[in-house]
Amino acid sequence: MKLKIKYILILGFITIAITSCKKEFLQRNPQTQITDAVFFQSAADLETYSNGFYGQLSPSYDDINSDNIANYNASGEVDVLVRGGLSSANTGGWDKADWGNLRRINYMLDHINQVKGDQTLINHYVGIARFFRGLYYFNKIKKYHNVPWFNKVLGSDDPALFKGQDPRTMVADSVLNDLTYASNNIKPDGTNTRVTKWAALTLLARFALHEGTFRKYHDEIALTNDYQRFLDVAITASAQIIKDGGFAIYNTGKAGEDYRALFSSANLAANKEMIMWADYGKELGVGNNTHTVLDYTWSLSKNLADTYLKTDGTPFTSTPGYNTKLYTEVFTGRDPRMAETIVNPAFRGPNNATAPYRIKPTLGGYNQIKFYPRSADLMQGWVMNYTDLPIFRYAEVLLINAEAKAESGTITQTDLDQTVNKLRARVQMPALSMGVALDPVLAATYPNAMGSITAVLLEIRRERRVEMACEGLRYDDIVRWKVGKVLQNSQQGMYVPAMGGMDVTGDGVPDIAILTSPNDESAIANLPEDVKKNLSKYYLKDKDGKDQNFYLTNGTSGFVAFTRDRDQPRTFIEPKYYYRPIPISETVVNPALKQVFGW
Amino acid sequence: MSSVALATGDMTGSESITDWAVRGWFYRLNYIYDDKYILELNGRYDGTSRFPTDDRWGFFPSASAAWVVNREKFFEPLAESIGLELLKLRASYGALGNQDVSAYSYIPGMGSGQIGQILDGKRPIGVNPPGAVASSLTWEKVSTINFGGDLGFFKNRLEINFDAYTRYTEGMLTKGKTLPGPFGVTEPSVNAANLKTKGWEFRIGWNDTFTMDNSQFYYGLKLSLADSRSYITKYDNPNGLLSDHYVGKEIGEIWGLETEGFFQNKEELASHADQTAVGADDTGYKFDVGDLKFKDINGDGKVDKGKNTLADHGDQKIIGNNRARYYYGADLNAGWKGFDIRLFFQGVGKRDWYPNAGNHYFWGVYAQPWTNVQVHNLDHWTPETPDAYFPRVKAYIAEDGTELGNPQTKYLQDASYLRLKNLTVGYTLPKTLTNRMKIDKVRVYFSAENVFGVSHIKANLDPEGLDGTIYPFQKTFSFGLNFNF
Repeated sequence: MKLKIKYILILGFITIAITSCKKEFLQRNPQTQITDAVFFQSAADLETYSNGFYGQLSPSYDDINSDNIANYNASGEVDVLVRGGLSSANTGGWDKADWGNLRRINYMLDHINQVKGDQTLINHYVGIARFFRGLYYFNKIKKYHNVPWFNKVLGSDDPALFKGQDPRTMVADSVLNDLTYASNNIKPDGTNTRVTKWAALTLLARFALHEGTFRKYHDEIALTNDYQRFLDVAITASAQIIKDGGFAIYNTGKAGEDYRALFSSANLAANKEMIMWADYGKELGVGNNTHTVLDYTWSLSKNLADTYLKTDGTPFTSTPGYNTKLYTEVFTGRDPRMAETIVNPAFRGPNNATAPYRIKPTLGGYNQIKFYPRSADLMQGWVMNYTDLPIFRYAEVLLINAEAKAESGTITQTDLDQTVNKLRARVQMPALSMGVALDPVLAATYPNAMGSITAVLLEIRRERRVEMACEGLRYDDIVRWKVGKVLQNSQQGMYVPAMGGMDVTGDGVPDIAILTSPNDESAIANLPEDVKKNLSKYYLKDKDGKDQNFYLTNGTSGFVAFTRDRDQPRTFIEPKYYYRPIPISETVVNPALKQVFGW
Repeated sequence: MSSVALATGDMTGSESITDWAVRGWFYRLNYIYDDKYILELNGRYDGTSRFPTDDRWGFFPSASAAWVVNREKFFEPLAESIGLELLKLRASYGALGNQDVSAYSYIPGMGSGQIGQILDGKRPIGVNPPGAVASSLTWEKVSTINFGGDLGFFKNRLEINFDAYTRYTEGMLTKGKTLPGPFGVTEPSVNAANLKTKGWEFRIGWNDTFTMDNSQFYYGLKLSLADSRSYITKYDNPNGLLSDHYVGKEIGEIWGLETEGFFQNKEELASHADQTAVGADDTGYKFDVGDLKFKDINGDGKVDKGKNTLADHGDQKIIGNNRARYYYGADLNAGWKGFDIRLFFQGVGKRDWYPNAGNHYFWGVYAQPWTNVQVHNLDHWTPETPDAYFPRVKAYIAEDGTELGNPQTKYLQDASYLRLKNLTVGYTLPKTLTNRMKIDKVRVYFSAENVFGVSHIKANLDPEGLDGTIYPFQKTFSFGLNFNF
């Protein structure tokens, strides 16, 4: 057969890349990013890099998850925990974003050897990185007890990714090393908005107190033979700040007002009590959300309110009839810090409104006022409040010193005068003496407190709870003192003597009314029409007879309590609930991780 | 380095520059013998800046051959006897490369930006650690083997085409093996998976013209149907995580719970398996009367996802597949005495869809209480309406992938649909009339797009716009007038 070729051959080589024939044409490098080899050159680069750490240290202005809270409308972790709702299947954390904070820190430390310059300055930034690593692992131990320790960035084929937990002892000692290095190498001076030597010493003292007391009280981790050295560190670190830090309790003789100035001021730069503080300002677009402390999703508990001493220094709970005192009576003759923490009848409301402020029984009545920005220019909306906030303040250092000494059994009257009594003096409260009588209410709250000076130790705990209320420490305190059982108590609000109108502004005229239901307002039938018209009404049941979110403990009188606590009882399982489960998704990927204490 | 993004000091702007380069050669070789044997060879050799130097180039050849059987002498008697004019058999192999990764994904670049804190009275710049990068990264290679045929009958009034193909995707660019949390950064995209797709397509068309009442009547009908399914053939997933690909996984499969209905009373609630593990965090993982009741498939006394692995998937099962199957289309047209009409239908024969958590258009107040109540939300549980569609009104249970947001049988939507994409009716004025006006042709028409459809989704959502937030397809009506001079 004769070949007949219609199309013979079309063969084409076409060079598309006619724009350039250079070999490097296909090498494209990022122009708005930098690489590690180019970046880490000098101490200035370390400063720029370490700026990125500061998001890991933010001020706290609430005590959610603790017994300082009467009711939290949203779902707090502890609320879920004590109702049996938390499990490894639904818990969060331990994810890449969380560990990414550690990776960020270790990434700088991995590159430290290529940085040239003044070694002291380089060590200062190494100290800052190790401060943040200590902070990171402090929080990790608190949650998980044993955690794997990593001091370098992990590559995708690093077998260490799949290792199990290191023992708490090893990790705690590593934290101790990091924070000790930090406090020895970070510079002591500055604006205190960055980490200083004193901030590092404060964190070291806080950590050491936590670890020391945790080991002392938590026999389940079998380290009761090795806690004293941590208490000693807490004592020496806090003593060093007291001796050389140049800080002071802010006291201009105005008692409660001085206390308020720490939490609701436009500028804390000059406040000698601030070891470290967070700066907020409208010009730079950095605001906080402190207005949510009042009337938002939580309120404070009767349990906290009862803790404040009377101005004569004796416990309120020893006063006959204290349990039936009205909201308008409980603030009278009390530690001034009470009215600076809990909304009191004299409070004029947001922005110093002329109308008196009405508390709401739906939140229990004891609304938080500490941290609330008082003026309109400081309070402009969601994440748009511009009060400066404390991160570490000197008062905590004094309390750490006193508590560590009391736990060590070495505290003296001089120690009390140099610590707790400075706080008492600010608010013009009587000094605490070594001979204080044991308060039975405190003794019942902390039944496991040990030692010959229990009465003083418990008063130091009271002082800490009162002074540091709503600063985010209370939950950790409950945990390290091993008194988790207080978390199973249903917290309550104010006392309501009877159904009907109630004065909450102190003028003798009812402002709010607690009523059976919209169908039964008989309890206010006898009130004058103009008073009735002005009442804010709250019902125990809706028009269909359904329960509302709160009830009264005696039915038609008693303390405000919350239906959720009644219908879904709270149970604290020892020691399991002092710890948290690792998410199941992580134990599947790394089976070497073991859940602790029955999780 | 000269970029605003790398400047220090006060900065409120930002800059992003991305560039990438490709270079390639290709060839094509065509050979046709006697219109009977057709051979075509193609090839590309491509390089891209997106991959590291050693992995930068890829060669992607393809070849196709066809045999026009009807031109064979021996076939002619048979062809004539059945009216066959065209019988063409085709076979091809082709490879293509994908470079679907970001421009510098093998270079560990450190980004920067103003931090969120005020330090020393300023908001300084912070530099961030780089993401993780793959140590080797190269082209994803997609090879397709196709067999097909074209048939024409009765002066090509009847045309049939069919194809069957298998596609192998090697070194698919996707997230690599899942690493533990302490890795601290998202796993980089690597050539992590192989994928095998099998599919087929079938088309049949009929066109004819005849004279009716002294006018030409023409009409045509084209039908098409296609389907494909894809399976993972390689992926490093030693634990069989359901959150990752695994060997044997069909692309699009939906794992979910089996909904048994609602808790109608306290007794039912008390005696049912513990559902804590699938509850919503915002409601404390608690369930009450009127809430969803899930089946304890493995009978272990609790409803959960187990370890969310193949070996231990708790009470989950494959409840559906979100890939569209059986794409079909029908195109009809006809004309007579100046009138013309066209109808174009398109649809998908099978597809499942689970509304993503937080989809306000579907979940409404079940996602968040402050969003709009959707009309279909009104069909919800109360003691008086125990068989409603939605559970009792309870916010936040469809916000995350738990409770209502967790895929489950009751709310799995049948996303198949049929849609009339186009309807056109026209009339062309008779030439006798238009010629007088010295106009070639005058046609008036009415055309409508997306006028009619059949959908089975509970909410009024566009079945073609379920993936992502796109505007719904609009119904369009147009009237027109054409003049040809």
